[in-house]
Amino acid sequence: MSRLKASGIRLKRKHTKLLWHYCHTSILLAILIFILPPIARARVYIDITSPNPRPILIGLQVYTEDSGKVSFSPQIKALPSYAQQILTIIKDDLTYTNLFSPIEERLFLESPSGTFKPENWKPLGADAVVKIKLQLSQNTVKALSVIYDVNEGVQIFKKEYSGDLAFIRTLAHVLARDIYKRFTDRDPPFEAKILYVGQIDGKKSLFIIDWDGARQRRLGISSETVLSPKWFEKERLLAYTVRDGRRWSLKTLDFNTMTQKTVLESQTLAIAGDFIDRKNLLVTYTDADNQDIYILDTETSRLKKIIGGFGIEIDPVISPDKTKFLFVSDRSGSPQIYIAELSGYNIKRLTFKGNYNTSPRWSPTGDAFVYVGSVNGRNQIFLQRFDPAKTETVGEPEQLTFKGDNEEPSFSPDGRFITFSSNRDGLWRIYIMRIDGSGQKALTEDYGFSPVWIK
Amino acid sequence: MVGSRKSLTVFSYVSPVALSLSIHILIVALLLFLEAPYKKPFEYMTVKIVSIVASQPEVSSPPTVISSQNVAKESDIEGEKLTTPIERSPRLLPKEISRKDEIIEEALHAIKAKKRIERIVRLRAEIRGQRSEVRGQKSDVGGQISEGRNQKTDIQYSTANSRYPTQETYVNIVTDIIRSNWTFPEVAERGLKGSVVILIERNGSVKIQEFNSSGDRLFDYSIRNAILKSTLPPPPEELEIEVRFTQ
Repeated sequence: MSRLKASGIRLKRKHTKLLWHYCHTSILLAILIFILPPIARARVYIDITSPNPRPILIGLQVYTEDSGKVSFSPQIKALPSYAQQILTIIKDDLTYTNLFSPIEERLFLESPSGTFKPENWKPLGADAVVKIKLQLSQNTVKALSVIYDVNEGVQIFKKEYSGDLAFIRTLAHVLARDIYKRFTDRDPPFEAKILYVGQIDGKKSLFIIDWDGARQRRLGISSETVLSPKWFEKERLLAYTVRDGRRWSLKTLDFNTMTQKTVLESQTLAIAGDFIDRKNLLVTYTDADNQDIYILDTETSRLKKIIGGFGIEIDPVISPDKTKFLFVSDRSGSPQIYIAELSGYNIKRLTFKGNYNTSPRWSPTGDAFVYVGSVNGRNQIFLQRFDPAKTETVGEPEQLTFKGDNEEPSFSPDGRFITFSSNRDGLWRIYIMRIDGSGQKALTEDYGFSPVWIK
Repeated sequence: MVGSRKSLTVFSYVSPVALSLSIHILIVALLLFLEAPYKKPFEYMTVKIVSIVASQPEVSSPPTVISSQNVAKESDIEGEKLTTPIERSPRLLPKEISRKDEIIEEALHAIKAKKRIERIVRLRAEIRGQRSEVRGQKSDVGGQISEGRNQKTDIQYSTANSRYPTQETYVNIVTDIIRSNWTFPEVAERGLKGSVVILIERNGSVKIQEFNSSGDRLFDYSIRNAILKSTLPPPPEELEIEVRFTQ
């Protein structure tokens, strides 16, 4: 015992320093153990899939600022309310995209001109609020559009517009476009137009309507027959076929100069396919009762056959990258959709379901095409996903229409809508739908066929 | 003896002592740290055991009934009663065991019973929490406005019951809340992916620390809204979560 004690004393006396050193180290270690965990916090991972399908809930408010002593012309005074009209157009545009759902006005807790307060909108479940202030004067209108984010409680967009009072629809579509763009970073087709073959006084004529069916106007082109208008956005060129007496003429109309030009005249039918560039046009041309695909030089009217054979080869449509084209051929015994290179080589069949598949049209990105297929004797529109890199279809075709006959589909510039003609209610009319087949509605009351989108 | 003393250098004495000292401190420190997260939830779980009947020195001890009502009250489970009384199984005690040993046995029993009650209370609280979640989801079926309101009450409810004993349970609740708040329009891009790293502070406030964009503005917007809309209950401990959203 005494020895142990003695050694203990000696230890204390001689090596206190060393002991303290050890103590310090252990204390430091202990501190480290306590302090480190919060720094090196373990991260937890959560995976969340399949969101609740719901559009963006948006509060839309349009109001006219009292501009004092401005005397409105009787014409403007007669309008129910300028602000109300703008609001309705914006609402319709946004609602039809299915990405937005405007909140009913009667639920608003905040007046349109009132200051934005998030607590007024949170109970309504709103995601965003748009306040548009209009200043009307004799002939012009100024608009100030401000978008607020309800969840963050901040302003996220502000823009001023001005224009002619008469162009109310254009202003409303532009306002709607900017709201759409702020949330999606994409261009909606709100300002786009649809050109189609209509009827007036027993003659066919070309008409243009807004994407919502409003503002129908007629181009000064009419004939016994007007066929298959095709649009080349880059050059703003239109190609179409008319019949004058016994002769068929393939014509182009330059929208920049509004000049018409006949590029091919013949006794047999020639139908425009698609523009390859300003000069060269893919066409279906009938020679000795056999329809084949040619490239037409619009300057010299020279034709060069690229797909031929005993069967019919029609309806060439060029891919967005301008390297390939889709066409219809009955070489297998029934009309089916094929793809080929511009040279006419490397032909590949793409549709195998059904025994009648025609009218292919590309999506703007080239990752899908629509076509018309026959189901129980009625023509229906199908969507087929496509892999441009592998030049092959992806998955099964998806049937989009089910009522009556549906023909001549055409993708909107943003690829989210399809316009087509249908006789589901008796008369052929122009219709529109989303690319999943939802929201099908008629855009024209009168006869309409062969719609194409114009930006 | 003298020689051996010389050979035993001071170091051979000092180092074991100091080492053992430091190891002890370390172990104590480690124990303190390791227990910390598990202890915390119990801090505010005031569970009182009221009447544990002292076991008789005779052959068998009668079943010990613990007043479940009191436990329920203490644990803040409104209106709910533990319907099955916790019973102690009859047990034979040898007569030779002295009074002292009996007291120890009794104390052990009491501790065991306490633990069981704690576990039951905790499980109940968990079930309660989950139930309220389910209720919230069901009532979401309503229209636009009722949807917004229900989400709120739902969150408040779960906040009131925020005694989540484990991190796992807490993370599950967070997942459910964020999922219920995540909306995305139907006609839109498919197969999008994005993630966000959030820090949940002790008071339940959420900070977005990192945002990994999906490349689609609308999708990113929906992710941010899902986080911003989610009112989270206070976590057992400050927590960093990476939430990965897949369409």
